[in-house]
Formats: sequence, C-alpha cells, structure tokens
Amino acid sequence: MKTSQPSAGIVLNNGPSAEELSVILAPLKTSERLLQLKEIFGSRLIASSSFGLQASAMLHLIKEHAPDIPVIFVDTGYCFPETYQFAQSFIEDWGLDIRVINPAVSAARQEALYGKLWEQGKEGNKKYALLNKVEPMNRALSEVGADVWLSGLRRSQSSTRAERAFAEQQKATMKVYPILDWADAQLASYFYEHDLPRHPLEKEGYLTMGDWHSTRKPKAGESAEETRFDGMKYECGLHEDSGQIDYQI
Amino acid sequence: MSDVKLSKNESIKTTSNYLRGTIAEGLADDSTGSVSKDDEQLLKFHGTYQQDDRDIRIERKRAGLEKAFSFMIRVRVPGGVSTTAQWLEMDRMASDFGNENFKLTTRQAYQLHGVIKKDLKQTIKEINETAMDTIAACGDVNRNVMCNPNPALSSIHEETLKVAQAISDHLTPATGAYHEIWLDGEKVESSEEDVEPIYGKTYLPRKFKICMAIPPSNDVDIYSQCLGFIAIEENGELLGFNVTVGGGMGMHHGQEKTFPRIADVLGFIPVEKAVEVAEEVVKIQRDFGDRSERKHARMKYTIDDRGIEWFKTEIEGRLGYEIAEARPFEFTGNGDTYGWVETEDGKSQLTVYIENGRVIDKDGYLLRSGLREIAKVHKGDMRLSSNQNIIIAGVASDEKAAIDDLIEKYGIAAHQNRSAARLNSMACVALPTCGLSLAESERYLPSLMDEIEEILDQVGLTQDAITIRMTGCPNGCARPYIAEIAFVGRAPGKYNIHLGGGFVGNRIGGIWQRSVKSDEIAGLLRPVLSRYATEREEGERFGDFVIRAGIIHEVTHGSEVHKEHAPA
Repeated sequence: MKTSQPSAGIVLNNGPSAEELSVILAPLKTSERLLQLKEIFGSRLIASSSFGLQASAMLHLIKEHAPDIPVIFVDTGYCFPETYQFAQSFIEDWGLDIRVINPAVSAARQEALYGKLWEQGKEGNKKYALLNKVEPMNRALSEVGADVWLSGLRRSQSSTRAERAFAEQQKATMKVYPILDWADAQLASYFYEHDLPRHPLEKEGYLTMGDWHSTRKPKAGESAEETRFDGMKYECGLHEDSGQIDYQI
Repeated sequence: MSDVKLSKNESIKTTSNYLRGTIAEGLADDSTGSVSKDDEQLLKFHGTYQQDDRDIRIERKRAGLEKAFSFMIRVRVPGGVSTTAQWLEMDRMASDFGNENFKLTTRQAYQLHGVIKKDLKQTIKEINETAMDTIAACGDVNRNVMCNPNPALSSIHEETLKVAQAISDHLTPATGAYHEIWLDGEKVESSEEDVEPIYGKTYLPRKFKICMAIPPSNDVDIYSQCLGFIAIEENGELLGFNVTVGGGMGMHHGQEKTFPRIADVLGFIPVEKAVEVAEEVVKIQRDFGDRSERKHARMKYTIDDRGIEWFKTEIEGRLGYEIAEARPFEFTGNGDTYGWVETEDGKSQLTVYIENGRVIDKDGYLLRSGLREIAKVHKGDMRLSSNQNIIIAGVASDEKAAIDDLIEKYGIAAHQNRSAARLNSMACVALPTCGLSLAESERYLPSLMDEIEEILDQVGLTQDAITIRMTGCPNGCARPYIAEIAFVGRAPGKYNIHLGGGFVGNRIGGIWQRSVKSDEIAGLLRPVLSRYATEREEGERFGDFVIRAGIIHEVTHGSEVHKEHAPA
C-alpha cells in the first residue's frame, strides 16, 4: 500500500484521536492531564460546569492548571435558586472565564408552546434536553471556536458512565473527562484538602443536582442515580450521544 | 489490599487461549481494514501493530471513509545478524506489501510499515520463509534479544551471539497460535501446562528487553534494558557475563511515579549459566511484576520497589547458587564506528550511517537501491546495529573494492560525511503511523539537525560526538533519556529538552527546558554548545560538561528526572 512516506514536511491536523488521547491521558495525574491538554489543544479547549454538588473540584483544577479555558454554564432556566447563587459566587470570586449561556427559547415560551416537557415521558425529556442543554452548549462551542470540551464526568457517578473513555469524539467535538477515574473518596479528599465551597443543597440531603423538576432527595435506600428523573434516567442529556439529531454536537 | 484489580490487558491475555483471540476471524473479515480492540492487543505478541495514517485522517473522514488502517510488522533478528538473502527479501516485501521502504529499529529488528490487513498473513508467512519471524517482536514477552554486532573481537562476538540466540529461542513463546494463524499450522491439542512452561497463560506483566554487550562498546545501551549480559573476556576467551537488571526508558510526562531507570549490575555468571539465569529473571518478573497497573509493570519498578538486594536473594534462591561479584569492565561509548574496520579474522566490515534507520530512496538519494545492489554481490552478512545503522560484515579484502564502488555510485559515500553529532543521533518513527506520538520525530529530527549542525560548525564542534536523540512521546523508543541531548515530544511542535545523559549511556539526562517550540530549540542550545566548545576540559563529554557547568542537575536516580531545574 502506498501510504504517505516520511518527508521533511510537518503535517498539521494529525494530533491524537479520541482513542489515542485516552491512552495518553490515562496514566497521568489529573494536573498533568490538564497541562497535556493545554499543550496539545491550546485555545481549542472549553469546559462546562453545571455548578452541581461536585462542580467545585473540576473548577478548582481548571483554576489551578488551566485558568484561561472558557467555562460554560448552561442556564436552563430551571436551576434551583441555590444553584444560581452558588454559580454566582464562582463568577464573582474565582477569576475564571465563566460564560453563562441561555437557551434560544426561554422557559416561559417553552412551557406556553409545549407544556411541561419534563412531564411528557421519554420524548418530552429528550426535547427538553435538546432545547435547554444541547442547543445552548452547541452554540457556545461555535461562538468560542472550541472543539475540545472538558467536563467533570466520573465513572463512579453512575452505571451509565462506567465504561466511558477519557476522550470521546462526538461529531466535530472531542469530549474529554480529566477526572473520569476519580473515585468518590478521592473527590471527597480533594474537597477537604482544598477546602472547596459546597453546593448549598448538599447539606439538605441531595445526592445529585440538576434542574429542580427532575431532582429530588433520596428516599430510604435509594442510590444517587435513582434520584434523577425519578430513576427513569440519570443522564441530563448533555452527555448522551443522541445520535440522530442534526444539531447534536 | 489483596484484591487488586488487574489491568485490562491481563484479562485479554487470560481469555485469549494462548494468544489466539479472534485474530483468525478478524483477518478473514474483509468488511473493514481493522481488527477488534482485543485482537489489536494480542496481535502485538505476533509482531504487528495496527496503525493508521494520521496525516490523512481528516480527509478520509470527510470522504466518509474509515481510517487508513495498516499494519506495522516487526521482524526479530537476534543480535541483528541477518543474511543478504534476508535483506533482499525485506527489500522486496517493502515493495510488494509495504510502503516502499523499511526501517531498521533501535532493537536491531526490521520493520515494515503500511501493510494492509488482507496482505498481513501473506507477509508474515513470507517473512517466516526467510527463516526470520515476528513472534514476540512486540507484546508482553521477551522481545528481540540484542547483541553488539561489531565483531572487532570476532571470536568473542561469535560466542556471545550464540548465547543471544539461545536465550532468544529459549524465551520465545511456545504457543501454537502463531503457526496456526500465520503459517497454516495444524491445531495441536496439548495440556495447559505444556503450552507455556515459562510464561504461563498471562505471559509477562509488560514487555521485556534483553541485550548482550561486548565492551568497550555499549551500543546496545545495556543500562536501558530489563536484563543485560556484559561479555567478560580474558586473553581472547569469553569467561562469562556480568548480569545487569532493571533498566528501562518509558515514562509519562509529569507522572513522577514513572521514570527511566539505569540498570543495576547484579554480578558475574559463567557462560553456560546465561540461559537459565535469563529464564529465572523472566520468571521473577512474571511472578512479582505489577499486573494491576501497566504504567508500573516493567521490571525496573519491580526492582526499584524492592531493592537490588531483594532481587539478588530471590534469584539466588531460585538458581540454588550464588552469583559471584561483578568483574571489572569499561565502556567507552554507545555509538557506532563508521567506515571500514578490519576484524580479528582478517576480514573487513563497513558500517554505513542510515539516517534514523530508514532504508528508502528519497530526494535523489538512492540508499535503498544501493544497499540492494550491495546485498546482491556481498558474500558476508548484513548486521543491523542498535543505532539503526547497517554493518556490511565479513568482507574479504579482494571484495572491498566492489562494495566501495557501489557505495560511491549510489551516493551513499557522500552521505557518510556528516557531523559527528548527526552520526550519533536517533529518532523513533512517531507520526504519521505511531498512535502514541504527540509530536513529530523521524520526520523532524533531520531538519533540526541541520540547524544544530550550523551551530556546531560555527563553534567548532563538527567532529565532536554528542549523542542526540528524539522521540515523539515519552515512551522512549529511541532511548532518549540516556542521550546527552534529548528531545521528547510533548505536543505537536513542542518538546521537552533533556540534557546531561552519559556518553556511554550510563546516566539519565534531566529535563532542562519544558515544552519548547520546535523553532526555538536551536536558539536555546546555541549558548550551551558554545560554552561547551570553549569551557570544556580535555576529553570532557558534553553530558558531563553540562552538569559540571551547572546547566543541569545530575540525575542520580531515574525518579529525579521530573525534578524542576532552573536553567542557568
């Protein structure tokens, strides 16, 4: 087979694929993962945060090792008041490049046109996720001009995330999870070690955090993932590959 | 913690039925140019890596095509000694199945690139027909056994090479999978215990590297190998070997738990014990190597975690005798000696510089054609050096002229006239085929050397040998950490620069500058080379000088390689 032969020319755009990046990132310490990503991708990086229960850790890592990365907060319009207040404290005090993005169709308009989508089963929730999460995030990516998206997903968060790789290609975007392999205990000790701020609702017993209508406190014996969408699903929609939809990232 | 979770590769090995997996089925599936994930891991044991051309990924994707998958095939050549017929066959297969060139590797192996899946079986079959093989050229087993190929002391070399061959044969995986899959061998039923008496069904935790050095040359870089044998001679007679253990190169950027390590000298053994010592060392690594974390699974960590004394006690217990104190020896360098050299047996040999080991006709330089013509008339053998060069060995005095004529005719002679630094440089393959590479290496080092040569010329160091090595990632295929100057890929167009490795390959260089853009490298090196030219002491090597001058700290243990160093 005649593949390209070695030549003096240096070819751009032959950086690592998602699979290769996973292999490169896996053995590294978390701080080094961020440095390595910065070295490879530079201004192509972007991060997202939901300002949920565990968000402080990823935001702290970004602050320490890659403070230039824009951090996108997708404001669905349905966050708990405490989440907005929590996010505000980071926006004001952490010196990060946090950018708040809203859906193109407002909450009131959506409810007027479609009703309460989150009460309309699987299809309703899918549409909800597209309108309120996927579309705004997609817009943020193209506005920033980034195509490598960092998020704080961890394998131990739920059964649906157990098999994730450190990097995944979703259409034109590479999604990267620098703390994917952190166990709950490691996260807890990171919070303790750096005295990180905690979401106000954590002390009230919430195990997970999302929009107010799809998040509740656990009943006796329930796992964290059962407290989202009434146990129907765990993923909020932002980190699922919904495949068919055109504007899925 | 007794229930340590095993790394994923361990279960792949366990369930592979002695390296079979579904390789045969995968080869038969012509709907894709690739194989399954697990088979990709298993294929390494058979000597081949699935790769794809990274330069054309984007255009392939745009065209809706799968990646341009192809396979790299590594051919074992114990001690690097190959016949002219084998050379010519590799050359032919590079055209028939590969991409019109082949590579001489840093472990004295041949490498074909760009073989597509449908040709893979036929290529490996034809390689075996040349009396070479590919099994265990890669994978978690003992790889190609290296041996100094330079027979200035030809009787010692001959004996040492025999031991290398014996060790290689003894440690070759015994599974019938290789014959079944590639050579249409019969399926042989045998009991579990018979299949792999040394390795067992999970083989080794990680790759394993063995070499034989014949002082004063350390061209095999013995300190970078899991297990090494240093030939000890007296009055032209091979007495035995000093055994070295626990060297290794690979590390990860910023991960202090991973580091290159200089091997320890364990002691002296007589010649006839070499094979059993090799077996026991391998078995200790089999039993104690870390199977839960691949980044910590090499022999160097097994020893570093427990200490060399532990290792000595362990192996002596298994052998049932004590290992004697090491005999004195001295290395003077790890490079090759170029040009004609007369050997002990009255014959001559010619060492030809091959830039980064790539045998190719390119830009009007017909290196591959020239070596082909030489192989056609040459009556001796072709020896692959550990520095990716070729030694045309065993030339009778009346045959020298014919070879010289061809060397001249094909422009090879003109390309030998390079700076001593370039002649002592090496680069790994990296882009576009290596999936691990973060930056260019083989395609970039030549032009960087142009820049460096300009400086060397200006400061008057053109004739001074300095080892310079480049790799596209920190895994260390070109053994960069023991070079006097090393460039280790960090990201596209960015390299860490290491300084202070030992000229004989016995000391690791520390990180001098991190993430340097490629166009800034030469400029940074200029003042250092200039100082070396004017301030060095008589006979002082560059790697020693930069430490004495305080330009870099001395790395006395591999783990210090990550240490911050404020450049002077």
